[in-house]
Amino acid sequence: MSTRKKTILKVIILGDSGVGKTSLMQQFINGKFSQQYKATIGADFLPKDLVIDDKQVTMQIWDTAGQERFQSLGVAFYRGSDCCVLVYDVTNTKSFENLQSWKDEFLIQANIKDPDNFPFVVIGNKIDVEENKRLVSSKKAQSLCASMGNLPYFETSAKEAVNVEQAFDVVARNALQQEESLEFSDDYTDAVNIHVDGDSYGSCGC
Amino acid sequence: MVLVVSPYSYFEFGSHNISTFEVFGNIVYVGLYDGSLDVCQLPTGGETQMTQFDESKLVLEDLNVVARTKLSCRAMQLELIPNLGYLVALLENQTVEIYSLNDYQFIDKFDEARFNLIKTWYEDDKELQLDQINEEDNDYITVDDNDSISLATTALETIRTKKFVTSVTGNSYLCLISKRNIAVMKWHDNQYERKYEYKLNDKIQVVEFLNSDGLIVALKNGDILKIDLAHDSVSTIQIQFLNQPTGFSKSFFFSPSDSLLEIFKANNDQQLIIMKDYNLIKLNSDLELVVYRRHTHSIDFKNPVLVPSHNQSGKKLRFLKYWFPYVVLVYINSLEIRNLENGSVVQQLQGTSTFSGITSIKFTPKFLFLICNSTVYKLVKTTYDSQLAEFEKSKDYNNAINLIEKLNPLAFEDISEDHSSRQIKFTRLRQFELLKGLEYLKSENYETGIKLFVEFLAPPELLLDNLPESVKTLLSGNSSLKHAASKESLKSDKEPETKTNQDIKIINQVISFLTDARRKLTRLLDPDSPRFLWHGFLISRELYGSKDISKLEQKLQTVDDCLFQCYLITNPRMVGPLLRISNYCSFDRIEKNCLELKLYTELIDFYYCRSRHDKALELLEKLCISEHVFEPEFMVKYIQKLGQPQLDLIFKYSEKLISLDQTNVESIFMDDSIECESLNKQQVLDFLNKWPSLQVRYLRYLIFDLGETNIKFPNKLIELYLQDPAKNQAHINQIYSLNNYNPSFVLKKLNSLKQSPVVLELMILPLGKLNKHKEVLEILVHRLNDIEKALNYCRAVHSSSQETGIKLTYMLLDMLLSSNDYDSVFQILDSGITYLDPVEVLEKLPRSLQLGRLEGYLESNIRNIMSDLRSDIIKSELLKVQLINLKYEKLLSDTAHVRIDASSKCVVCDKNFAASSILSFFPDGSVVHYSCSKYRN
Repeated sequence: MSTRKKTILKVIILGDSGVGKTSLMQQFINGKFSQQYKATIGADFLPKDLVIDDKQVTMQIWDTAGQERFQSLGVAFYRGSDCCVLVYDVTNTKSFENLQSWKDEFLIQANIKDPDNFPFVVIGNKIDVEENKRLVSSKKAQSLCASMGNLPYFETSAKEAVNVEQAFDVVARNALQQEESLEFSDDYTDAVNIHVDGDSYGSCGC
Repeated sequence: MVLVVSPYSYFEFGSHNISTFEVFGNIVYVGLYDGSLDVCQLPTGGETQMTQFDESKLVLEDLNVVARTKLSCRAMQLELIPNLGYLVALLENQTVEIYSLNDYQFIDKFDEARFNLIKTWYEDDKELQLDQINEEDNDYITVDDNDSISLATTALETIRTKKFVTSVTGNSYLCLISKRNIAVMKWHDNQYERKYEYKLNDKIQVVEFLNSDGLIVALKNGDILKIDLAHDSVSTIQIQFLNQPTGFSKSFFFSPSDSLLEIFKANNDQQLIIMKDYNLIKLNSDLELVVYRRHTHSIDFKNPVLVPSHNQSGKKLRFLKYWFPYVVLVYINSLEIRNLENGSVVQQLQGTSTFSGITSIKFTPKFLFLICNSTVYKLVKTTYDSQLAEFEKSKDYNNAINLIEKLNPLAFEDISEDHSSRQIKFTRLRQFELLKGLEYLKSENYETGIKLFVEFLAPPELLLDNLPESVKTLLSGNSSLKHAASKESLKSDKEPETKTNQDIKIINQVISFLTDARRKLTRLLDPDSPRFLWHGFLISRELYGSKDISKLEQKLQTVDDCLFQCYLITNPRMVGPLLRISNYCSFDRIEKNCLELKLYTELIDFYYCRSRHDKALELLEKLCISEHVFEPEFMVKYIQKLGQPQLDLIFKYSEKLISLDQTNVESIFMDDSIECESLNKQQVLDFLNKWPSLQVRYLRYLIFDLGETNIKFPNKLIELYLQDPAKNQAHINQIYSLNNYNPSFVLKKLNSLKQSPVVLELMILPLGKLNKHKEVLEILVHRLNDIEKALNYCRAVHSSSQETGIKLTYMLLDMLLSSNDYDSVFQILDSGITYLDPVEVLEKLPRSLQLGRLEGYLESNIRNIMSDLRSDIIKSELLKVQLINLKYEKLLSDTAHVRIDASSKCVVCDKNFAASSILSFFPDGSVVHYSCSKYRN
């Protein structure tokens, strides 16, 4: 019986309403895209199994509500996150300007011990739109990411599956790194259990 | 000790001992040793505070006998099937008789076997209970936690408690047990349907219906069986304890035992309790062990619950019965009320020697009866409100919570009408959970206490006032530990040695509470959502003690100030994020602390968040320009975030920055941002007045980058450029090319300058724009002597307006002829200009002009005329051909005819034409009746 641990990486997706958080998650997990907009209520998560450098991991992606009235009220669900994805819409300047607020809110709610080194990834979504509809330039976004602590930045199209895999690959790697750095820390005892037995749940492995 | 039950009265039944005693509703059925059956009205009075069973103080109550009948012999057990109107009696001679509930007349008997136990099942007629409240309630426990606004919103735990009975079937049963045989008679909708019979392995000890399709049977050998009537099958229930030693695989019920055996359902039909070997084992509706109940906040939930086989004075347990929401244990000399969650004692009632004679115990929701020879003792359940008050007094919060969780809130006496029952329940539950949390804090179990505070939305002050003094001192901000948050500590992970780990740990837990509380309080302050659902309960501002927004804001200020202080102590790097988001921190406090601790970046973010840009810029000016703590770029970045409303501030603080480095003007006023574009351009332009070169830069940005169309900006730029026309001629022409300037204004400015060739050239386009073409030609011909440019000008005008262009060209010729500049005239004529009429040109030329000089012009014109002539001839010939064709077509149509004879038929109706028919002829030769013509197509 295998004693190898399976790592669960908890990833939270945040951003303004309508930027495409759910679409990004659906595209990454199911390879599907729906034109129909449906506001997310509360939060939901979907798991995805990945292999990162020969390591089996399950990425648990928590999609959240962008609209304040639908946002989750409990702070507990932010806790124990290994990476936070900040999403904005390249055709919506406001959603871009709010990135810093989303980041700060996350840090407060998740009670991050080391905010300077917590992995965030910024995604500018909807790059499939016509160029003249795009209101936030790559340069501007990169500049903001640099000022927010050299955050990795990706431009994606959840609709056309552009760059989604690549963005989440970096998310997973950064989350794994974070998770490993916390593995021996006892400061987050109220977090979600980050390890479960992989193939033999409940077994002692002998 | 809490008073749950209190002795009140007793009833006497004369000289005869009681053989069986049953209570159904308000009616008592008493079987006596002489074989008579007394049916009495239950006396409902009774209120007492007796804590001891003192017979001398009990009231003697008279029973109002409503009926009396004589049975065949002494009744040992009585059961009812009310919907059928049956009273079922198991008699001493081991036969079973059925009597009518209306007149207690004999109906039928079963004597085919020697019965020793009977059991009935029927469905409650709800109408009968309209005046009663069902005290059991599981609303809180079974709340659907998928209300997504709350908590993690994703159901991490999907345990849903099911009831045993889920639907009304209309079935009624009577079980007759005879040693190892069980016969079950079934009625459906009050009609007898069938009989089931089973022979089991051993003697049947206890029978309990699970629902209308199944019953559970305990045998003497220790086996527990489930009889499934729907499938007519019997199965053994195997339950293993989780805490059994490894390798112990036998069923718990494997070994036979002589100890007390009970099976009953509890917790609002959600649990089946099997009592075996003094263990109360809780099973769910799937007959599995209840291992963990998420919503049960009584933390010390146990399964199984071990009850003592002997009481403190060593007397043996004789009876155990479930009496909602407790279990009643009767020992030979005492009575105990215990909690079913963990088995803890709620009340102990010392009995007398009478207790040894107790033959059975019975109860209604309100009364407990101890049956003893010829006497029945009545004990009264105290009100739930008084029980809660006593639990609170004795700080037994677990039992209080346990009671509220299980109780229908309508059973409380002091319920307010404007709240739903769920809401009342939550309010009560919260009250005790918070008290329990407070106890945890007092016992220094901060983690558990704070978790309860988070879960039950404690008012912030409740936690903050009950923290240890050392933590309070730290959080007050007066501690010398504040240096912890200095800039140095931001860079270092090293904790100050003076802080105790315990205090830090507590503060970290306080942070969890505060972040949670601020989120909920903030939501309540949102005018769009002054209420929200949390675990199915409506949370409104009243929960935090006030509807008043300002009071809630005060609470939020307390929370945020405290959170700020917590971060300063434990994790100063979180100060920044806190001050950047919308917060309620006290302005003066934050300002003072940040300045003291040199948390400048954080303070500037805070100023920005509070729109105190004046303060921010004042500080930035000091730090960036005077003290050089930061680069000036830092200040520029702040200004970049400001918009039109802060324009005065922008001007005030930009001046020094621009003086320091003029390129800052681009960052401040020409940045690619919404804020920058929102600035009043004229005001910015006026502000830049003292730096003309910057004005030019700004104007170019407006005109060429932003595409600003307001005419005053190009005018202004031209004006600025005209300060050095020679140098800026190209730039001015660039502006001319946009055709968005005021030509009169420009000409006025140009006229005021020295009339250099550059200035004259710059006048051409504005004059042309004003249609002052003659003046343009005069400049070009007479002042600049540039005939080629003059001709080009004429051609340009001609391309936009032919007539004006021709006139202008003649004007140019006239102008040259009048000055006898024939060379220039011939230069124009030989330039290949085609739109002039050669005749008119020739007429203009003086007769003295030598013909030879005109040769080229004339030849070229003749060639052109000949070419035009040939084109016209070709056109004329083609028109002639077209005319002939048309004449031919006309001839054909003139001679077109149709021949109709007697056999000709209408193509529409296919009938012959009559002599008097009116006909329609179509160009394609078809003929139809006039009336048919509309249907032809």
